[in-house]
Amino acid sequence: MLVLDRICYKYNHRPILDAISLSLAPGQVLCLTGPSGCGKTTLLGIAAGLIQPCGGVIHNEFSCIAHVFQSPRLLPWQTTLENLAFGLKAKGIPKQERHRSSRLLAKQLGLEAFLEYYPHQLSGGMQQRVALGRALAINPDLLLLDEPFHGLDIGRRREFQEMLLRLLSDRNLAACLVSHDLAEAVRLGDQILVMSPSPSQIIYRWQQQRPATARDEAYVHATISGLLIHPQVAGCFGLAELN
Amino acid sequence: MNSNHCSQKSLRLVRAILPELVGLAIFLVLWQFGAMHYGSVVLPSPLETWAAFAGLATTGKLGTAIFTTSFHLLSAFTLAVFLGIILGIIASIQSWLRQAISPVISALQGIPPIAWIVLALLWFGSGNGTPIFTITVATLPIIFLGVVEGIRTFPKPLLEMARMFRAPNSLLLTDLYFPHLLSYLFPSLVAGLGLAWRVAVMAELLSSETGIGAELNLARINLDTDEVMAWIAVVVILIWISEYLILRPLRRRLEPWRLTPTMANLTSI
Repeated sequence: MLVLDRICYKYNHRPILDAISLSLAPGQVLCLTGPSGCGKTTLLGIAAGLIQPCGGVIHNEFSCIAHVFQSPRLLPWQTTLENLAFGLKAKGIPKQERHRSSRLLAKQLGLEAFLEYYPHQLSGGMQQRVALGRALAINPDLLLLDEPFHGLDIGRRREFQEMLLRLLSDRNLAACLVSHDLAEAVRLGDQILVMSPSPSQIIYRWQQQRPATARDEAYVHATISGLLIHPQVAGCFGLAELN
Repeated sequence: MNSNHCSQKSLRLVRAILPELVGLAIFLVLWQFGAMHYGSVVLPSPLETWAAFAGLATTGKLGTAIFTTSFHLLSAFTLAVFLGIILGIIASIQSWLRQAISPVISALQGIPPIAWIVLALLWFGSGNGTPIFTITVATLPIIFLGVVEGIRTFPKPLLEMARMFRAPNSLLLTDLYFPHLLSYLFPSLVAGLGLAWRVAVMAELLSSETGIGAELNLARINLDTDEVMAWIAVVVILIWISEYLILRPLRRRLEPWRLTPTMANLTSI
């Protein structure tokens, strides 16, 4: 269980986050969405313990948190196999063992043919898969994902989303996902929090009705329309002015 | 079967270095024409140079001179790399330290090697000291600037990533800082080594009694143009060896991730 209670954050005396509260149970997927620059990435950093908030309380019962960044952040001088095993190497796990478990993971991610490739030889989607694999390799119980589908075309995006949902449910992993794509949030999230422009507050909370396997195209579209009917949600994306 | 495989391999090697061979052939043809036009006292032909070279090799002069010059070069260059890395790291720790060191470095960089040789002759006389000192001070700024640039451009996002995985400092050093620094240092090493050869020969010519530069000077005094050409050819061959047989294979071994597709084809030979 991760609970953030009235978290505040200021940067250069400018308030970024204003009393944000959320809770995430084991095995659950939480989607943070909102306009660009509203502090979603900062909130993720606070949840991961990488950034100190200016106020509020964090209560974290997850024992191992892994982070997937917006860009893959792979080490350019290491092969896919070595990149996958980086987190395990940081934990001091012997070479043979970490390579064995990384190979296993590569198979699940469809990377087994690319183990000896260097990042610059892989496509953007492949690189992001390696980054996801590197995070999963340390067997986390909470996965933080910062727009991991950024820069992928719609086909690769859907492919990646399916894979992520499968991996999360197989491992009963909790995830906190930042996305500014409502369709993605509806497809993946058990809980969606909509943030306002900074200083951000959570202006809308939405609880998923269906299990991940039953969220078809029609349901996703209907849900997005349902969400955008709320004036706060439409307003925070600047849609109210357009209409 | 095996010999067939071998000849295929050498055929591929020849095809890979064909542009280099063509360039070399054109150069030799022009040299031959020049020699025919000016006469062998002014410009000995490639064959006359080869004969002089063979003569040097049989008297044993060649081996001694190469050994002496290599000794000067390697000891001085190692010292320059060592000092350059240490100074570069010190300068990168604090920005005011970098500011304090940088005028000294740009002065070192601006002073022509010949001025150092004059100074070194006064300090060290005509022993090994003069070439070693001159090569060190001439190449130090190149190494130093490579190190500073490598550290300055280190990508912070990778560091954040490693911190998130709670990577210990030793791992940051071996898996992040060192490979990144090496990729910046390598071009500096190549440039530095090229400069080191030129300065080594010049310093020996003006100050030493041994080494390729000293032998070159002796040949000049004897008005033996064939031998002068032969010594120049020796320097060129040594530069080729250090680039094509030492530095490039070393780079392929240390930085396979930097290979462009054409270089990747070369490694498969």
